[in-house]
Amino acid sequence: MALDEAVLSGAPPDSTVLRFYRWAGPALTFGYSQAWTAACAAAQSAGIPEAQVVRRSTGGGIVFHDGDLTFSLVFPWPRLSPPCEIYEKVHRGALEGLKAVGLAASLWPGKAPARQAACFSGPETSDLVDGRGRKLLGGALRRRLGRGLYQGSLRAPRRNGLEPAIRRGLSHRWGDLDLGVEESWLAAAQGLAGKYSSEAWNKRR
Amino acid sequence: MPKPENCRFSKTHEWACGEGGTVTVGVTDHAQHEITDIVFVEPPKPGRQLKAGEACCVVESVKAAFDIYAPIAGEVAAANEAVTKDPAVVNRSPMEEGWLFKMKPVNAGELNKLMDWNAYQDFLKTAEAHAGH
Repeated sequence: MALDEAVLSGAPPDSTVLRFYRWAGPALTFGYSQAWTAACAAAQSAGIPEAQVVRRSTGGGIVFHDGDLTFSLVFPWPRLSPPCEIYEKVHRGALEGLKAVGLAASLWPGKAPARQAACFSGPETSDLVDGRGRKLLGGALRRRLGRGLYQGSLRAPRRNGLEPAIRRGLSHRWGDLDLGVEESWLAAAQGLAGKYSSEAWNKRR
Repeated sequence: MPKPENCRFSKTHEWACGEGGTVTVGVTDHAQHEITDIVFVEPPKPGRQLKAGEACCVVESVKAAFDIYAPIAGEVAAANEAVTKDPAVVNRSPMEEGWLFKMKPVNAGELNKLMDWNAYQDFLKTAEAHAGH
């Protein structure tokens, strides 16, 4: 979370940065506006009270990180535009890559239901779903100073080859991707790490 | 309630309207339209000192959180509790009931650096296509 914010704040304005990351153990992230107590209750209900619970800077709902493939994309978002357009563009790119390696997926065409607390409780508009309508990929966005941050969670039946597939698909839609993490971003992330582990951030509501 | 003709506008789509030593701030109708259905608003807390252009407020539509910026420098004098209870007010009435916060400006003359209504309309037609934050 800290590194994502560091990249959002520090990446060159015209660059698009893709980063895959993993979790050290069971974890749960929840949206910027959601309540800490709701997130903890979700962890309890899911039988993982020991899960690390972290508030994201992005919107969206509660996401369990229990073997999912997580990635972030920082990209130019200079003109204020509807987030659904950005969301669809990211997911169309990911879809293209995943289909190329044989993963059966499609964009969920339905309308978004009333706001759901948990991200994977059901598909929303432009989520990726499998052939039975089960959600495969969901994400959330933040816009700051002309740049956007997308944080996504993919629950696929297999992991092999998915990272390069997503990279190729996103590159086709978004152009050249930066895949490296610069030292300055890591240094900034170290400064932000305390924020994301603090009560002031996680329990702010 | 402020008339657009009496307000000033930032390139980041905030409006600011001064009256009696206080400046009221909100997002423009264009901004609320682009952000779409607003489900959460977090205005800055009264007493906070803001720099011009500082990210100070968050609005969230489904899936996406957006930073909102202080159009001028000053101290937050009040936050609109109504929009925290019913965020959709910002969509319905961005320049009236949907104001976000009030400021005591360091220098009210800073408002004159912002666009007037006609300039903002021109900005939307031209620069908006490829600029702004």
